[in-house]
Formats: sequence, C-alpha cells, structure tokens
Amino acid sequence: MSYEVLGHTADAKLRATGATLAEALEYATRGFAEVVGADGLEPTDEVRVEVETPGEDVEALLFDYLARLIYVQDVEGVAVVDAEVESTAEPPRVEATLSVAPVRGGLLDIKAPTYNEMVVETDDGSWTVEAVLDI
Amino acid sequence: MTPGMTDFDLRRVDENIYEIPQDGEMNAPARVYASEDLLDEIRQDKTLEQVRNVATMPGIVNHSIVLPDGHQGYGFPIGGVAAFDAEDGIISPGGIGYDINCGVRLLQTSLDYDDIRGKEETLVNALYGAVPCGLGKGGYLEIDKDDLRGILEGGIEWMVENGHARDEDLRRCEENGRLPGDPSKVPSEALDRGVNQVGSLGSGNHFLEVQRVADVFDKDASEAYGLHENGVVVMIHSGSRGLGHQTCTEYLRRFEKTYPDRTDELVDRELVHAPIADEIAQDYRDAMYASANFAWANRQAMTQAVRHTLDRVFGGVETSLVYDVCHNIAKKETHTVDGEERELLVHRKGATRAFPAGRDEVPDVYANIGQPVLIPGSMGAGSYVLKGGERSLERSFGSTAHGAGRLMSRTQAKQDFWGGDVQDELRDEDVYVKAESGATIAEEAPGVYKDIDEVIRVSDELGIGEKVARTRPIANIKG
Repeated sequence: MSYEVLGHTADAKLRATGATLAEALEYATRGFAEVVGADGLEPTDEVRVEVETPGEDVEALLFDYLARLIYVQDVEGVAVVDAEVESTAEPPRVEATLSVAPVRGGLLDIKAPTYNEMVVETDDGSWTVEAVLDI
Repeated sequence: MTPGMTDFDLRRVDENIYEIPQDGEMNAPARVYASEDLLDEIRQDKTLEQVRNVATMPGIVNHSIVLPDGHQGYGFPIGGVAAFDAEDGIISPGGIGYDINCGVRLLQTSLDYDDIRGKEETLVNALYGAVPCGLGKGGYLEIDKDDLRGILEGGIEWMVENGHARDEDLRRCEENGRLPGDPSKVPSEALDRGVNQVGSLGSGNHFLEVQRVADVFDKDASEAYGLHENGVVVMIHSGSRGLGHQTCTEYLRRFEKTYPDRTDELVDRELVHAPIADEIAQDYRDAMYASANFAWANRQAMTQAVRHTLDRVFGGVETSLVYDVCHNIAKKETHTVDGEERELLVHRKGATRAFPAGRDEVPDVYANIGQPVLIPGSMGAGSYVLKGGERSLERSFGSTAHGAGRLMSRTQAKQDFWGGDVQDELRDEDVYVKAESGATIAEEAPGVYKDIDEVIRVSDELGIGEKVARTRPIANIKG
C-alpha cells in the first residue's frame, strides 16, 4: 500500500491506501510530510496524539486527525515525518505516535484540512483515504 | 471533457456577465463575471459547480457570484461572493475560508526606483532576515497571551496603543483595522497557535514584495493614493495564520455537531452554515471578527519590520500605509436590494470589497475617489491598484477580484518548473526572489497564474473595480 500527492488547482490533495484504516492513515501521514517538505528529515522525537469522533463518521475522524498534525507542528515547533497508528472506524478513533523532527527553513505551513473531495472507504480488504489540505 | 471540467448551460446576460439559471435545489441564480477567455479557464475545474452549490444555500440574496479571477476552492469557489440577511440569514465558515481576513496591504515609501537599483540583493536578504517565513519561524513581535487577547479585542487600535502602529495606519485599514470581536469566543488551541505568529508571513501564495509603480492609468486617483511612476511601494499578502485557521476548523466542526441533519443534507460539507440568530453562529461571528483583528495586527507587525529594514538599508525612509483590504471575510453591510436598503452579511472568499466614492466606509482621505483595491499578480506579471467601481454595488455587493487566480496545481507546477530556473529568469527581468526552498518558487512561478491583465480588464469594463495603477516587482520574499 502507498500514498500519492495529487494535483489540485490551489491546494494539495493526498490519497493513501492501506490494508487497514490504521495503515492508510500512516501512509496519509507520510503524504502530509511530503506536502510540508519534511519527508526525508531525521526524526528526533515522538508526540502522542489521540483523536475520536463519537457518533460521527470516519470522514470527521480523518479531518480531525489531519487538524491535529497541523496543530502539533505549529505549537510544538516540529515537523511531522511519520506515524505509527492504531485506529478503529467504529467507534471512530485514532491513537498515533508521531515521529517528529525539528523545524528547518523551507517547510510549508499548512493552514487546515478540508472536507473538499474527502474520501474514506473500504473495499475488498483495503482502505483508501483522500483529503485536500488548504495551503 | 478533461477531468474535473464542468459543463453548465451558461446563459449570457451581457458583456462579461453569464448566469446559471435557478434550477432544482438552487435558491437563486449563479452569476459569473468573466470574459470568454476567462470562462474557458474557469470551466477547466469545479468553479462553476461550486458557485452553483453556493446558490443552494438558504436565504441567499440576489445571486451567488464568482468574480473574474474565480477558481476551484472548497465549498465556495475562490473569487466567490454571497450575501444573506444580517438578522434572518445564515453564516458559513466555509464562505469565509480557513484563513480569516487573509488580505493585502500596500505601503508607499519616499524611495524611487533609482534609489534602490544595485542594492536589490541586499534589500531582499534584509527583508528575508527580518520577516519570519514558512513553518515554525515565530513572529516579528514577541507577545504573551494577555497581549494576544488585546490584539483580538482591539486589532490595529491595540497596535497603536502599544507603539506598533501610527494613527494614520489605523485610518487606512478596511474597518479601521478592527471588527467587534470577542476574544473569549476564540478557541484556546487557536490562541496556542497564534501567540508566536504576530508578524509572520506564512506559506503558499503569501508574499512580501517591494515594487515600483510602472504605469499610472488614473492620475487623480494615483495622486490621492500617493502613487507616482517609479515610486517604490511594498505589498504584503498574509492573513490570520494558525489562529484564524484553527478558529475556522473548530467552528466548522462545532457547526457539524450542532446541526447533524442540516450537514447530512448539504451538497458539499464545506458549505455547513447556521442561522445567524443562533448562539453558535454568533459565537463564530465574534471569534471570526477577533481573528480578523489578529490578521490586521499581523500585517501591521510586518509593516513595522519593513519600516525598520528600509530605514536600516537606505536610511531616512518614510513609509506610510496606502490601504489594507480583507479578501476572506463576512461583514454586515447595507446594500440596496429590489429598491430597498437591507442589512446583509456579505461573505467574500477570495474577493475584495470595492466600495466607490460616496460610501461611508471609504476613508476620509479617499472619500472623493473610492477605496483603494489591491490586487496582487504573479512574480512576473506585477500587481494592480484599482479604485472601488461605480457599478460594484449593483453588480457584486461592492466586490471585485482578489488576484490573478491559479491555473495549475502545485504538483503540476513543480513538474513544469524548476525553482532555480524561475529565479534566474526573474533575475534577468530585474526581479529578485528569495525563498528557502526552490519548490516554493516553482509552485508560485508566473506561469501557474491566469493572465492578470485580462482579470483587471474585465473588472474595469464591468465597472466593479477600476484601474488606477500597475506595479512591477523588484524584490519578493516567500515562505
């Protein structure tokens, strides 16, 4: 399974796939890091995050997870490079250990996740997530 | 049709005016202000689908609008305008955008182009060193959370009171640089993100650019705005940074949780909205206004950085504010609808207020001219200063375009352009660009933007924003 950064007129779109929702979110995190320009940085620390959206759908979970990555970067002064994720779709929940690196010059400051063209779906034993990031 | 291209049966209303007639779920027609050439580009992505979706929102007044620089956004198109009744209507975070009060300001200086020729490299390096750019670089102004609450409450007033702005700066901002925001409605995590970002540029298409006035089209208006040929000006494009982004993100989610049934019925989840009479809607409005105050303070702090830098590099430079406009905002304004004056909540997402002479909101110094409208172009094509157009009130709730509008994705831009080559080509045209990453320069290469001349021509012909002057870049820094 994998991730790719897709074209979008003004912003950046991610697509990630995995055998499980957790794996798809791990690849989505790597895609996020590529958009920021942090792919390839050497992680020096870890940050633990938990996100849950009880009573809501899995799209809300993906939205909140991506929002959490952005928050961690801004407030901790780090760049997210990778993640180890545990996740369930029902109830919608993510626990992730983020691998982070110190900020260096030239990294993109992502504004926010969006619901635009968002996809979270499972089919035949694999998960696909897609999201547009506002930059 | 190419992927993403949308085909609609557009009806031509007049020169540069097209309409998607009201149909199905639409509560009003959708209006497109564009030439045939711009329309060909607008059809290439989901802009028309999005302006039609906005027309499905309850209580929309007159029509949903997309301006000549329109392109695909999320929820609303970029270049989108929609108005709702200020008492009985709705408010939508997606109709304002994550970057609340993203906007542009223009500074005029006592320098002429000849004064800085030969020192461009020194200048661009000094500005890059003074203004934090990109992720995690802090802000020009060091403040604590008490100061931050003061900024959220007072906007530019707080900056004046604390020695970071002059009285005339305050009078030359849209809304005098302050909306009636409530700091207590701004989420705590937004405060966390914003406290170290006052006076920071951000990333994406945000920039700080030293320019020269290249062409004057309207002598009287140019003189009123303090612009003359070869005069050096500085344009700053930035917004409310992480504070505004977090505020929009959190309220969008609160709206979803408060109105799950309404959310399920939406054609696009980013169009989530709430009746303005509801408590959560008023909380969002008050937090959004406070975030707008933060954005003005952010651009003001960078203005101080520019003032100090120009003074350090050239000595004895006088730098004053021409004007500061918001292009992601919703505000209460009075407009004439069907012959009657109504209080409306006008949402502008990637759209600039363009009030003509005669409106009370226009600063006294420009009362006979109309407000300055600042429209940044690409690093190659230059930017424009317009004045509020005589027909903007009847046609677009007093609005015009906000930029050139992107043609190409950032992914495609990085495949088609190499940052170093773009930098060299611009250098051959005497434009000095500084960014830490070549990818940033490639993503913002002149070729990824629409023809700004055509956008401005259409705005001018429509009478919604009229040409005053054109500027050309000298030195540009990006995050």
